[in-house]
This record gives sequence, structure tokens and C-alpha cells, in this order.
Amino acid sequence: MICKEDKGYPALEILRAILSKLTKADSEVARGISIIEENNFKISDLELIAGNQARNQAKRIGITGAPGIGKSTFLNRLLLSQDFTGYKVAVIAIDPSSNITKGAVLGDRIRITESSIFETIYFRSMATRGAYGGLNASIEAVLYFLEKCGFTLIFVETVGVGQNEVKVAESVDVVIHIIDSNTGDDVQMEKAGLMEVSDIFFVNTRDGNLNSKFITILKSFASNSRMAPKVGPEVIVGSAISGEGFEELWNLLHRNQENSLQIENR
Amino acid sequence: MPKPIRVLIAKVGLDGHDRGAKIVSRTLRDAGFEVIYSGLHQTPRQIVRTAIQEDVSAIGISILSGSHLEHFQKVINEIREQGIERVLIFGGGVIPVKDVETLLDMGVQRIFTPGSSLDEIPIWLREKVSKVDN
Repeated sequence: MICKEDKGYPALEILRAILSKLTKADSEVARGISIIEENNFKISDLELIAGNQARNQAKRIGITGAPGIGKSTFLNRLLLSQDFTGYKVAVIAIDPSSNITKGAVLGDRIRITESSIFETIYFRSMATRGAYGGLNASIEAVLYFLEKCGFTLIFVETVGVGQNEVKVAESVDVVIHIIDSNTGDDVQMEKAGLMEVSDIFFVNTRDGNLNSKFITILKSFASNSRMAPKVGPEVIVGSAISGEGFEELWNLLHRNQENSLQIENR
Repeated sequence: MPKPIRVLIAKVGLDGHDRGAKIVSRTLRDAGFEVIYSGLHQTPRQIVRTAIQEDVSAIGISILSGSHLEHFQKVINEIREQGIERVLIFGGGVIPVKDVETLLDMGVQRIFTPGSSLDEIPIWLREKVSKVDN
């Protein structure tokens, strides 16, 4: 929300004041995101006011997959399974806005089981506000703003998606696709869309159910894929609840690209 | 079209009953609010930190455990400590009428007890938030 103290000041001036501070409190980061969203500011607007202050090129990790597949639980495990000392971590978690009322219930925080996580990271839930593609219309400007605020590692959790929500691939460095082992046959993998832009498939074995035939098909698809986008695509079989597969996942993320993550396994 | 009002709906302490919190969340969603639902067993500190990070205009707390006096006081103390007094606080749940006055004196803006109309909550909240914002 815009505070009373902000009344009378143009939104861009408030953002300029926030950005000019050496360290930004969570409340200022939060207010900045609201201002960007409410005014539909774009990166070009922010560039005008950001001055020559350094912008970190944050490592951006996208988490996507079907509704209820375990994206938030996966994110929780991801945050618990590493020591992020030296990183400034932010999470943007997106849930859908109603097309009818514009309202939303944003429930991604409930999977964060360790309260200490909130002491060290910035976590913001956002509604899609009419945007299609799995993200929010302001996401690019918000990520730019977070980088200007000094965040160096940003996780973006999309809404629950299907085949066609591929926007996340444009906004992040690595797309982790959480997938169930009962997600169809080999023809599903020939289809364009999300399967094409996923860098890592994390097969989340919920309730211990694992369809091994699907894993074989998925691995075969991954090894034959000529897209080879950024890393992989790679297939990891694991569990967001037990933590199985996360060591392998982090090894993969470390290996990825020259600007690899310098994070120690916990 | 006005921008959606953001509101946090929270459960505090050892209280596992969240049917009411979910119904209020959906009611507010249907009235066009963006509701952050933070789940069960939150501490007062977590609730206020969430409110700050999510930049909400109001915090609604559902309590059915009987420890409403203690928990509301702790949340209000934390709100003051963090300097976010502009955030409205309201509540609901199994709260005896005799305690409502005490809670209002504490700084809680409104308590919706069992039997309250669901329609009333968004109407009241929208009006209250627009007064604070102007």
C-alpha cells in the first residue's frame, strides 16, 4: 500500500528515494514493489530514476509446474538445503487473480516450514493481475528493482501451469519444472511449450508413487532434445518432502554456466 | 478499476482450526481483495514480518484457541515495535463478548464473532482502509 507519508509525491520520486538509500529495509523493498505494480512501471521507467547505482546481476531461478505438484514445498526444501551466506535472497511467488472479481488468495507462504527463513530472505506473494503466461505483468520491472536493491539470488515461483505458460523462461536463468511421474506418454514430450523451455525436470515423487516408465520416457526425451537451452535439460528424481535429489540438483545448479553459484552444500 | 487491497489473514499460536480463516480469505477474494494466507501456527513476530514483506493494508487474525487476549497484545506490541501502525488489525473467531471491549481498547479495530455476516467483512474493511489511505 502507499503510505500516508507518500501522499503528494509522485510515485517515481518515492522509488527514487528508496533506490538512493544505501541499504533498503524490507518495508521499503515491499513498498517499492507495490508502487511498481500499481503504476505499471516498466524497466525503462526505473532506468530513468535509478541513476548510476550499481545493479547486481542476480542469479534467477524459476520454479514452475502444475497446480498442487509441490512447487512451494520444493522451494521450501531448496531454501532449507543450502547455506546462502554471502547471498541476498528474494522470493517472488505468484498465484492467480480472479478474472471475475480481480481478487486472489495467495497461499505460497504456507509451505515455508522454518520461520528462520523469513528472517534472512525477502518473500513476496504476487497475484497475476490479468497477466497470462504464468507470471505477473510487472515481473520484469520487479526483478530489476530487486537487483537494484542488492538481491543476488532470486527465486520466482510461477502460478500452477499447464503446457503453454512459458513466460518464466524469459525472466530467469534456469527453469526448474516440477513434474509428476504420471504426466502422459512420449507424445506429450513432442509438444511445444513448457517442455521445450524447461532446463531441469524435477520428478517429485509424492506419496512415494513413481511411474518408472514415465521416467524412462522423460530421460530419453531429455537426452534427445536438440533444444539444449541453458543447462540440460536434465532429469532428477527426488522428493520435496524428504529432500532426496536436492544434492544432485544443487550440483547441477553449481555446474551451470560460468556465473555458477558459489554456495556450500549444507 | 481500483487496485486490489492487500490483506493478510493469519492464524496465531497453537490453534489448528483454519476453516474460518479460509472462508474469510475466500470471501475477501470474492470481494476483490488480494489475500495473503500465511497458514497455521504463526508467531506474532512472523505475522508482522509477513505483513511488512507483503506490504498489506490490514492484518486479520483468526483465533479459536481461547488465548486471544495474549496473542492480540503480542501482535500489537510487535506492530508498534516495527513501526507499522498504519496497518489495520482486525480479528475473529470464538471470542467471548466480554473480551471484545478489551481487544478494542488494545487497538484491534474490529472483532467479528460467530454469527457475523460474511458480507459485512469486506464492506467494513474496504471503508476502513480507504479512510486510512486518505
